[in-house]
Amino acid sequence: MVELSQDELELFVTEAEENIANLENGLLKLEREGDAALVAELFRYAHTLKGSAGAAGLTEMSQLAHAMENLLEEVRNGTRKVTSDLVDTLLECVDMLRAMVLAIQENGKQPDPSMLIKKLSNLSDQQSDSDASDHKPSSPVGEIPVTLNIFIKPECPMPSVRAFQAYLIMSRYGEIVSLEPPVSEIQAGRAKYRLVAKVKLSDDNSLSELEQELTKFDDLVVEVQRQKDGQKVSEIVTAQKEVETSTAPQAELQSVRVSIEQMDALLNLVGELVIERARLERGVRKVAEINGNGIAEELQGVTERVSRIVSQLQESLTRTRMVPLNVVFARFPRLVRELSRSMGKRVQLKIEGEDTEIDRALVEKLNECLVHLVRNAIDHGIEPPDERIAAGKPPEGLIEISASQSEGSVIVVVRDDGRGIDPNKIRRKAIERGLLTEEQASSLSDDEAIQFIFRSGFSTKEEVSEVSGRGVGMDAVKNAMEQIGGTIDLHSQIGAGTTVTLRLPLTLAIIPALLVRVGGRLFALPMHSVTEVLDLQRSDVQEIGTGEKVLVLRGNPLPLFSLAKLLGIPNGRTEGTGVIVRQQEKLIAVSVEAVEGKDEIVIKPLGYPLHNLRSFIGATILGDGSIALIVDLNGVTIRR
Amino acid sequence: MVQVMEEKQERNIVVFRLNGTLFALDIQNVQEIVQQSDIVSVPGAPTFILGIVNLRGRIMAVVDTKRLLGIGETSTDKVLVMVAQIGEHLVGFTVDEVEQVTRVASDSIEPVSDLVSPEEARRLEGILKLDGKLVLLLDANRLLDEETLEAAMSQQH
Repeated sequence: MVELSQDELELFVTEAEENIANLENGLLKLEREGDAALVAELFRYAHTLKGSAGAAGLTEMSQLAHAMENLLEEVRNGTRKVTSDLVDTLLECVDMLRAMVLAIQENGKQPDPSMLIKKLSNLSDQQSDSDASDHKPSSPVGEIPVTLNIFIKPECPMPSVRAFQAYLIMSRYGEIVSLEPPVSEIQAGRAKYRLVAKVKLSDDNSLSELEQELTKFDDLVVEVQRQKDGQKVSEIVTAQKEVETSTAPQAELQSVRVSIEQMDALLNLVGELVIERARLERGVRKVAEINGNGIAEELQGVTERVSRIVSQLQESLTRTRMVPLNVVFARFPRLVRELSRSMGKRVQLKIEGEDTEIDRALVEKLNECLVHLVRNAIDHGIEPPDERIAAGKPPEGLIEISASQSEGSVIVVVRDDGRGIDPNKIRRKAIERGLLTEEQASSLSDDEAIQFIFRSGFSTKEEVSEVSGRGVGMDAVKNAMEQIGGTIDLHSQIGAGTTVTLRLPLTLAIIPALLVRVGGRLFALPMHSVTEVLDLQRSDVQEIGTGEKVLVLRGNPLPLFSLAKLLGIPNGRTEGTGVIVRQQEKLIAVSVEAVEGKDEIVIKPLGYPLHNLRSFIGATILGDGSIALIVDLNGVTIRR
Repeated sequence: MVQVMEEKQERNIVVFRLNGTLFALDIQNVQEIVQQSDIVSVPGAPTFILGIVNLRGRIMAVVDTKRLLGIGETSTDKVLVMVAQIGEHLVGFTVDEVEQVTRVASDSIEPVSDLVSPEEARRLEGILKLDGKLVLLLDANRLLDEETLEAAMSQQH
């Protein structure tokens, strides 16, 4: 293998992963709605992979990609039909490619693809034997030359070398009719930042391949002009002039790659900055108390500006941590295909809103939850085809995963049109498990009964199936969601299906929070769960029975709890302030001694062994270095 | 005498005192010892958790080692905290006093016999004698494992 530098290796791996993922997605689509454009696209991915693997000296990977390319070529020219078996085989290749890339990353032993390559070439042989005569020679050499304007970006360190590389590549694809500047000039090191080449290509298809191969160099921009006879060359010339006169490169570099560690380090620094900002503000306030004007005023002005900049810095950095949900959703088509096939079910998967962004730190947990929910939907929800037909449904079940953003949260919904959850089954199970008495069970509404699915160790499917597993069930999903400050909501209707709604915070790192005083200490309440703050003295608070309180808010009676009591801390102080918060999608009122302000806080985990504590999502370090616990209102159990 | 093939194994341990009893941890598990004054109690945490501290910008739980081991409790004002690395976690353990850091021969560490309850024996790697005094060598990996945590939680509720 060619020795690649660390950077080159990383670049190769990232590109390969992208191509492999594209291949996989495309293949899954191909089975369902294959069209010529898609096949051509797949062919391109395999081709690119073949090229880059070859260039990196990964002969076996390149060979595998080549074998895939051959099969896809047969699909493209119509000599091979798309069957489930073909897709299976090609997906097998995708897995192998993935394993190979992984082995490179981890410096492990390269898996051996020779069996798979053989399988593929056997497939190809069978086909070509049956219609050998069909094997057309490539299209006749293009009569009309194509004009390529190749711009070399100013940041390219050795433009002549790059120009010569481009020349070599073009000459592989066809006959170069003319080249400006001529090869001799290029070889003499006198290449400018542009190349104009007229190339007669060997066939039509190779144009996009050539283009792709050229643009693999980040510092090349390629413009293709299919020249009709008699077309004026002046247009091209003006284009060149523009490039020459403007110092800016034709296409700006759109993105840079930054390692995750680096991102996290930056975010940590900003976190520290946020803490120091609070300290600075406090200090300036103190100075203002002593020295009312003059120096204090000036300091205040500076502090305000610094604060604003820190806020903006924090906001844009947090934004860079966001990733589109596509990174999570992308694996589901494959998962659904495999699971539904193994269970003899037919399932169509619809994905919506994959552009919605979430904090990278949430990706893993969300993925965990979704895998669980989708497995459940296929295993328990979607009925086998005959059962569906008997129920008057289409034989193919539908699972929808959709994502959207609203009010500082990301909402992910998993919906299936399966048989739904039978509340009576849940009731029976809850009685069996000793969770409910007969009476209690019958007094529960259907919706309430269904919520028992979230109790730990609760699983209603009689036999333990390989897919959904034992023990861990919806309770695991609920726990995972709560750990990241999210909520889960489930609705089901017998015969019509089940809808699970996950609500996640946008970001985990830095959140706005309300600082409240409880039991003489400061606690933080995440702003996303706070709806309003009010003076209890001026509110309509009514006592019901034995000390239970209700706050009537605009005619709406809300239960009122002491936050100190909810948290289980002693309090002997007057709690004069009420905070209306959202708990499990419902509004409740909690009383606190005082609201001390609103602050941007950096969430830090409580650390082992407190990581499972349900009342707090973490702690934060305040401006004076002291610690405030961040209350998780969904984790607080209501007790009076 | 025939040379013994096996090399004499040695271990570095940190010996500390808790209510008059000597305990030790392998130095590999000990990162540092810090004086802590503002320990923030965490409502709802197991009783053997004294609270959390700000360790250079990082939040760390501090265990009341005496409560954990069932030999009393730590007064909260100002405590000496031994910062221990347990697996990938940093956890603080209160100690009364650090006696010494010393090197001992591995074979001088004897298995815990029936001297202690099985519950206690789980947390101990062994017992050794140092200057005529008994030292209980704690097993850092078991000090706060699932079993301990579960037992502590169930006691509480």
